Formats: sequence, C-alpha cells, structure tokens
Amino acid sequence: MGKEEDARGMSGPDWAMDLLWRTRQIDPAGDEGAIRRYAEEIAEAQTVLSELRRDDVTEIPLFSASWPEHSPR
Amino acid sequence: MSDRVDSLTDLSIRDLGAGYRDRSYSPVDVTRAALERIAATESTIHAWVEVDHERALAVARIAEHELMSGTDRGPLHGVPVGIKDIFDVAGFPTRCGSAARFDAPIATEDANSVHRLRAGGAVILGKTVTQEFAAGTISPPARNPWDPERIPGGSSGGSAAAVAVGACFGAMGSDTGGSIRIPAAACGVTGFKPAYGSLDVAGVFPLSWSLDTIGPIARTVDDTWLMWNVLRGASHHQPGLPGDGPQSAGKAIRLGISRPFFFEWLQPDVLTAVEAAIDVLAAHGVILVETPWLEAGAARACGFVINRVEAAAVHGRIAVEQPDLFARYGPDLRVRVAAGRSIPATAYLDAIGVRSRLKNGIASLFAAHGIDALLAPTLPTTALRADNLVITDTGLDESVGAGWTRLTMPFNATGQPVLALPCGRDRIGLPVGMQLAGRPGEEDRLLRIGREIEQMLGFHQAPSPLSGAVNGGSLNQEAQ
Repeated sequence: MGKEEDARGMSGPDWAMDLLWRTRQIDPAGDEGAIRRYAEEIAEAQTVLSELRRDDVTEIPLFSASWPEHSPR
Repeated sequence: MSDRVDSLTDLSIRDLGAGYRDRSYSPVDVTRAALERIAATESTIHAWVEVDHERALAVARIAEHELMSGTDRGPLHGVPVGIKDIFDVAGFPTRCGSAARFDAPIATEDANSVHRLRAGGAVILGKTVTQEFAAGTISPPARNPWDPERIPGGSSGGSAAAVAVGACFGAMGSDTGGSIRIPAAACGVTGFKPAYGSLDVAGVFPLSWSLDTIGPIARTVDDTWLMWNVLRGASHHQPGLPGDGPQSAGKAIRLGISRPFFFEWLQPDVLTAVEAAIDVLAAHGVILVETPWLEAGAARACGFVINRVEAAAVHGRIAVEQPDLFARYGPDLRVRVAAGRSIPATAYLDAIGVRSRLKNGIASLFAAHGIDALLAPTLPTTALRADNLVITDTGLDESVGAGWTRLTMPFNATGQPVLALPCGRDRIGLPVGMQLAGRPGEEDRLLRIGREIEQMLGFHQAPSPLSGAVNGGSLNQEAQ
C-alpha cells in the first residue's frame, strides 16, 4: 500500500483524501461523496471504539456465540 | 382459527397445518392460492427473483399425497415458502442480486437450512429479492406492500415483502447488521435472528463471516417459531405454542429499556408508537426496567468495522483480480469493497478484541437487572420513499445504510438472538417495529415472550397489505 496507517489516525482530511486515493485505485468510478461518507462513518466508529476503557482487555479473546459461562464483569 | 382470515393465504401456518390434517385444505390448493397472490401483486412489489410454478405444484402434490397416506413431516409440511437469493436452492441459480453473477450456475445442492425446510415438507416457491450480496437496506427493485412508493428495507427485502402480502407463509432471510429485522419492521411482519452460530450458514453466500446469521421471516411469532423448530432440526412432530410448559407459567415478563442510544434520534412518530406499545405492555403486567446499556454505541461501532472489513475481504479478490467483473457490481458495493480494503488491520483487530468484552457487558446488564430481554425500536424511521432515500426528522445526518442499521447492529456484535415484531403505526399508517434481544441459547424463551407481547399489542392481526389485489383462494369456496 505504500503508506502506513494506524487505526487511531483514521480521521480528518488526510484520512479522507488517502481513502479516496486508495479507493479510486480499485474503483476508478467511485463517487467521491460516497467515499467521503464512508471515511466519515468508519472514523466515527473508530472514535467510539477508541473511547472504550481498555484496561480490562489484555488480549484478544475468542468470541463465543454462547452467553459467558463465567461470572460477568 | 386466527382472526381476520379472508383467504387461504391469510391463514397462519398452524391453522393451515390443522386444515391439512383434517382435510379442510390441501397443499395443492394453498400453493395455487400463493401463486395467484404472487401473480396479482408481483408487478407492484417485485419481491421475487424467480418463481417455479410447476415445481412448486409438483412438490405440493407430493406433500398432499404423503399427508393423505399418513406420512407427516411436521409443521411445514405442504407450506409454501420463499428463499432469499443468497441461499443455494437446488435447481435455481444463486445470483445474490448482482449483475456480477448473471451467469451463476444452477445450484446442485440446497443450503443446509434449505435442506431442512425441504425435508420438513416445505414447498419452495422460488427465490426472493435481496440487496446486492446482502450488503444494504434498500433491496431494489422490491417495494413495500404498505406503500409501493417506498422501500421494503433490506437486505432481505423481498422475503419480508412477500410474507407481508401473503405470497408465502414464511421466508428465509439473513442478518449481518439487521437484514432480517429491518425489512420485517418496514413491512410490518415478524423476523427472527437466532444467536450467531445457532443455525448452519453452509450454502449461504457470506457477507461478514463472524456476524452472518440466518433466520425466518413470517407473519406471526408462532409462524416464526414453527419455522425455527424445523430449521434447528427439532423433531418433526407438531410443536405446541412457544414456551408451552411449566417454565412459563405465571411468571411476569421483565424487559429492559435502554433509553440512551436506542430511544435517541428517532422520528417522532416512531418514538410515539414504541412508547405507546410500552404503555400497553405495562398495562398487561409486563415489568419494564430502565437498563441503560452504555456500551451500545461501541457495540454498533464494533459490528460496523467488522462488517465493513470482512465484506471487503469476501469480495476483495474479485475487486483486484477481475476488474471487469467487479465493474458489474453496483456503485455502493464497489465503494464499500474498495474502501474497505484500506481499513487498517489494527482497526479490525481492535473491533474483534472488544467483542467479547461487549458481550460480557450486556450479560452483566441482564444479570444485574434480572431481565428476560431488552426492548428497543428496530428502526429510527418508518419506510423511506424509494425516490428520496434520505433519513429525515431524527435529528441526525446519516446515510440510510448507517441509520437503518444503527439500532440493529449492536446485537450482531453481541451475537444475541433478537425477535423483531410490529408494534404500531405512524400517522400515515406505515408499520413501526420493535425488537426484543434475548440471551444466547434461550431462543425458545425469547419466542415465548415475543408471542405474549404480540398478543398484547395485536398488530399481527392487521390485514395483509394489498390483500384486495386477489382473493388468494377463497375460504368460503375451498374450505367448508
């Protein structure tokens, strides 16, 4: 890809421009407005996730479809 | 028998089954009536990709012969159903609503879920319209039976529209961000997303593999329950009503309500209708508990990131290696795939990483408040006009794709079972829906609660939209 991107850098005009450039490499006809909207929505989601307290997330746990069997925190 | 039955196609699945077994109705007559209903409504709602009249009638004749000769396959024996066009159905191509699959081969095997329906005696009428590769909430060209100028929701929009108009008694949908519940709400029918992983998705084209779930859409909770029993492989006997048994006797329903997130940014009519439904439930003795789920927004964000990255991965090879084929994708999905490939892996892994934590969080909420289910609106608006796909009057500026999955997607992240059912109307008569999110592994309990709530609210008894378009097989003529 040529450009290193960090998840926490997914906001602002640079991110939107970068995403526009990358998207157009695959979809040259991609609508700029739609791509910018996509960039905004992903950035918003990433912001919400970054605001979660992470002090009790020490590893990537496997997701199980069943309800947690241990006492919920 | 249920109230407000004007034709064979308005019967419930349970009443239909009873009529088959006492020989009041026959699978052939009912299948003919369903095909007539399709013929009368399809030019308006465009719910079907393909209908195979001859094969449906042939299967109905076999079902009729089996029932007459004492072979009983259970509650769906001889019941006409539709299948969303991302499921493999032997004898049909799986085109997934995409021009990129214009030459898809005829499937030679059924998806596992379709196999179960077929083994249970269901009469498969054909394939229903899906949003392209199940990625979206509009489902063109399908339209909403309550107002054909409006969209049915999606991505299982054809299934919901077909059920709402009485063209079939149940239909299969898939739900990755809300695609069963959203069209169910927009079309005024019932949709059930079981817990993630509880039904086999083999033979169903993937959208986002760690969120994809399949389930039934039907007119009532009991119809949904009967389909669920067949889909999960329960024994073929005729099951009782959901929750029949000692565990449900005399215990008040206890529902949580999270006003933060779920009761914000709604059209006023939606808020009014859901609040009115809550008042009705309270008057019937349902205990309603304020249970703010403060991580709901994070759950939605988690599901959103996972969904976007995995969908881009599913279609990524075509995007990069087969540009001519990729050019056949619709513009919205092309952007979604192309842009999704640029989301950093760290963002995806962050979302995966918090998923268990979010599930633990809502498990804690259920435990702390002792609730049976969480109640929330399904959609922030009623059905949108197809010629003006803009969300208005919610106070938020958001795309249809983001706005219409805002309230459903949190439960895809947690993987909970969720039942969507109609709960009211807006000022021009369009359906408003609510969803009940339960505990994984307790789908039966959720459906029991859902049926009780359905009976309290009474919106399942509304006449089928466009019901005047065809008689659908008169009960007076064909059933004594």
